[in-house]
Amino acid sequence: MSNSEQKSFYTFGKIQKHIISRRIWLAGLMTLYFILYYPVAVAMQITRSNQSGMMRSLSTEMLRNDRLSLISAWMGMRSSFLFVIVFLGILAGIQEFSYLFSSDKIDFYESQPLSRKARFGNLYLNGILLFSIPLIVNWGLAVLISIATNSLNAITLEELLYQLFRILLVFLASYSIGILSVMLTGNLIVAVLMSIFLEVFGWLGWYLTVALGSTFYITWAFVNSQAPRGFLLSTLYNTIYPSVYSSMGVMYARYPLMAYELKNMVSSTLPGDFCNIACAVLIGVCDLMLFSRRKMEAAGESVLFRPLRAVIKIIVSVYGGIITALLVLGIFGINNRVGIAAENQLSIYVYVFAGALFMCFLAAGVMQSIYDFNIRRFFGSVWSMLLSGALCLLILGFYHFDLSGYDRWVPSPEKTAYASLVVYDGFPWFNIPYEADSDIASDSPYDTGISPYSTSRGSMINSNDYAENNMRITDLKSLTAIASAGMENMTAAKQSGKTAVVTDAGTNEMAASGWNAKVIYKLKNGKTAARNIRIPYSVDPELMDKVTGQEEYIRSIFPVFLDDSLRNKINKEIQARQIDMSDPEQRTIILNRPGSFRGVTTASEPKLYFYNDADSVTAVCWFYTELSDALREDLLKMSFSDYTQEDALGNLNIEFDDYNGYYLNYEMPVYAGYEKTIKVLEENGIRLASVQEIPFESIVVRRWSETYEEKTYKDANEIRSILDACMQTNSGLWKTDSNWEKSLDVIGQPGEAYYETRSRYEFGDGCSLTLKTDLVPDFVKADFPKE
Amino acid sequence: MIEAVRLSKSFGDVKALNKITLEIADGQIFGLLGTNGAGKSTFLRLAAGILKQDEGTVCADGRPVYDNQLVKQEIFFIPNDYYFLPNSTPEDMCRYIADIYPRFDTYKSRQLLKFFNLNSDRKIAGFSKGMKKQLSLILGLSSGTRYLLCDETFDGLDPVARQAVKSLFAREMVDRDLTPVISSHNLREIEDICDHIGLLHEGGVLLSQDIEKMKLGLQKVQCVFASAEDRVKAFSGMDVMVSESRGKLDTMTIRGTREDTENYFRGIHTVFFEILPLTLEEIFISETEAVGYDVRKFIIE
Repeated sequence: MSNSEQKSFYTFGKIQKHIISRRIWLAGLMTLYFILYYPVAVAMQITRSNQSGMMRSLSTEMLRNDRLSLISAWMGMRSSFLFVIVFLGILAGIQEFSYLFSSDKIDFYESQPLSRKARFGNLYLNGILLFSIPLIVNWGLAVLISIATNSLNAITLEELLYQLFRILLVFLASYSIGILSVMLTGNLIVAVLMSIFLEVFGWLGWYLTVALGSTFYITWAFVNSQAPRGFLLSTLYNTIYPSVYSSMGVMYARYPLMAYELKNMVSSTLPGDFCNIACAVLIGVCDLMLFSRRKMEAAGESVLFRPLRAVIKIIVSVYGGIITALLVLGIFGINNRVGIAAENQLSIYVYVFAGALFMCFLAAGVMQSIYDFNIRRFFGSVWSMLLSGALCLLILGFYHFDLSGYDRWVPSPEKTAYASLVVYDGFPWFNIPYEADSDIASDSPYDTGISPYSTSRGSMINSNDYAENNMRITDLKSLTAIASAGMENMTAAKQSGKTAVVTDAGTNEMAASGWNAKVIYKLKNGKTAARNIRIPYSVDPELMDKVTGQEEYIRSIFPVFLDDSLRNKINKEIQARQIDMSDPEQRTIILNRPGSFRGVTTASEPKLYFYNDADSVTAVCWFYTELSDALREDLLKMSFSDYTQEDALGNLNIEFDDYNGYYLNYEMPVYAGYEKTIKVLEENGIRLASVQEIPFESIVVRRWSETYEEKTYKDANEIRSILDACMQTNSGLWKTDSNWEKSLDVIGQPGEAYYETRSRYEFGDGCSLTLKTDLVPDFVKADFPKE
Repeated sequence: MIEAVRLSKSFGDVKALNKITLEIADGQIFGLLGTNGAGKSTFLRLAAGILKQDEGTVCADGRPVYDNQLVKQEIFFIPNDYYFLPNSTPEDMCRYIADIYPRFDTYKSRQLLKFFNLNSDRKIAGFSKGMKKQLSLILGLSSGTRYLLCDETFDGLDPVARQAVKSLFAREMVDRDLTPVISSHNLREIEDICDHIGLLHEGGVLLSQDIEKMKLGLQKVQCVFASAEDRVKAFSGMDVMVSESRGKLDTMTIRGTREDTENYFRGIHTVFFEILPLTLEEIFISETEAVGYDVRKFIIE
């Protein structure tokens, strides 16, 4: 090292020593936090895990897995405490450069023979050292403790290292923002406010567009993939994005990540991390530039650069106005699903706009008072106050009148890669442990990849999420035609001035009827767009067949296509229990017939529940794999027209619980067109009697209206007529509002003979039947005339 | 030499310095005089490299000061309220300054602390205002810099301390070519310290002159003329700046050397003639009244 290099290093060291001596409290705070978070917390958790595991007599392997889980969840990428790092970063940034707020300190420091760049560099580096040294030391201690207690494997260590990198990144980015706040302001309080503003304004702005959209647009829809992956200035958003918007089930799971899961986590967090990198670099450069340009005489001023004052003032005021408008609309209960009746529109909008303008002006006045430290300057810079009000009204008007054409927008097929159609009314629901690549084995002897409390891993996925994320409809011409019809249906309802759609509250004022659905478009430019639509009942069946008959559609909505994990488990159980599949009595165990040797399933037994309005069969179905194969074949042959031309025979519910973390449950209607499925069920002793087969002794019809009405029919012919007018079940796909008669409750009372082979527990109060609207017998209509 | 050429600095709408040109030569004690708001502190901060000028230049030894590490090693700035590190003692401050200024003389600082009777291990927070000023001067004198800029540092020092500092300055000026620059709004406080005075007013330089030269160039004459014609001859032949008559006794401040004045008055009949010493105050009043400015506001009784 040359003399001058030695001298400057020596000076650097001395300066750092002096800076640290004046940052004792900051260094102490960071050190204390990291000591507690890393070695202390890790040691405590490991100790507790061992004690708890021993009390439960867990095996050594399970104990180790639990410790691995703890380390991964606490120190790894699923840690919930990154927001603390954001806070520490901003605190450090403001603290390091806080001397700029005091003219005495400025005189002292800036008169010293140190160049501005050198001063900036020394202070900047000091903050990084104060943070990174206690972090790395204590992180290292925690890792050593983990290794010493056999609580670490290669993948978890990799995860920890990557998270350490992310923590440093989050700190650097937040640190740059803290420094930026100081460079833009002249006193501590305003600097803190500025840092909050910088962190929040982008995120809040996006959130307000979502709120405005969901309030004003009738076809508003949001999917998580539409959420921005990161904001340049919002390190807080970048850290919490994965836990809020990620659809990865591992986020909250308690087991150590496997390699592919770690890879998925990294992919999920990468955009936010890139934003943080960009923030650290770009804002860091900006900090240096502003430090050079900042006038030393600015100590004590609120916001230094005049143009910035107006910009911030306008942003804060407009935000305030929009939030107020949304609050007022919320008070009136107005959102996109509940429109404003024409006669109320004027008065409500007067409240909305007046409230928005008032808050705009108030916020602008307060900002100006803060800028000038003078309440009398409330109305200073009136032009910015008026501009804020105008902008706020413009934005509200933009959304109210849908100037962007949101409710009319349908992408052109040429610009769309693929799409998905999720229908909510009457469609199968499921929650399935979705194991993507869980059978991938790691070569590492330490990577067992399972938690002590579960025999499997993976995320629980529900039907809507699965369809949204995995359906790939490529016949976009047909789909967009359906979507257009659905959107026109919605907008026509909105324009009618009545309540646009039926709300959960059950208002009768229905202006848009149809099947409630969501269309999600994946555009070729990488963006995702979604719309809530109401497919009209009058939609062209041929169009619907083209879409609903596609294999990619069917495979995405019926849970039986996702049951590989269940099939594997059942097959393993069959082998373990040595079940003779050639013996019908072993293959199927009916549970809900009187005289059955037991009424419930035990762990790891596949339970089948097949039912309609008047009959049900509950059984252990070891033949599930055969059933699943049959269902898959049958489903691929069906489409919209098939479902609208026939009613469901019943509902099939499959449930499996290994009492050790794996739980599966799905339900779907079964149709006569499922020939193979019905054949498999019948071959295995599962047969459902139709409603018409049940020997009812009487049928009670009730109507709950202003006056309660009831009539009991005991005449055999009348009973027969009523039964002939009944469906097997009121559930099913593509049902319309008019399929079944909702105003009448129909209860069939079977005779005692019925209960010799049926469960009184299930049908003791009678069978709740479903009358088809167009087949209600005349005598019933006469007995219950329309109100 | 510290040289400012057409130096301007504004703070918002307020023009603190308006194209001032000022030279502070080496080897003299420069007094910068002006009322509050004249621009003294601003000038010193520009000279110390704290502020950046809007226009013009300020150089020390021919090199611009602002953001110039090497030049700033030669300048030590003492503001009116010197900032001391929190919870520090004089010893701590000396150590800190020693780390910043490469020629800081630790031995000298200890000597000066003893000289001013300041306890080096006592917390500065417990010092009086005067003690703090003394300590800031000690740090400045020990820093080893060539220029020592003092912003109203002497205001508040007792006369004994002021004399002590003056003698220290003199010694430092001999030992290491120190050039102190002292600003004040009180002429009487610095008149016996400074060699050269610069007067700032409303951002401009009203005058900048060597005190000795000012004294040499102005004569205070008291005389009684023999006749009215002699009186007229005297007034017309000399550059009389200020005059006062009490009965037959005339007191005049005349611009010119003593020799010239004596020679001229030899040609005039006077009953009584005497050349009296001028105080700096009188010189100032004369000079500034001549440009139509009342400098009495600087003179605090």
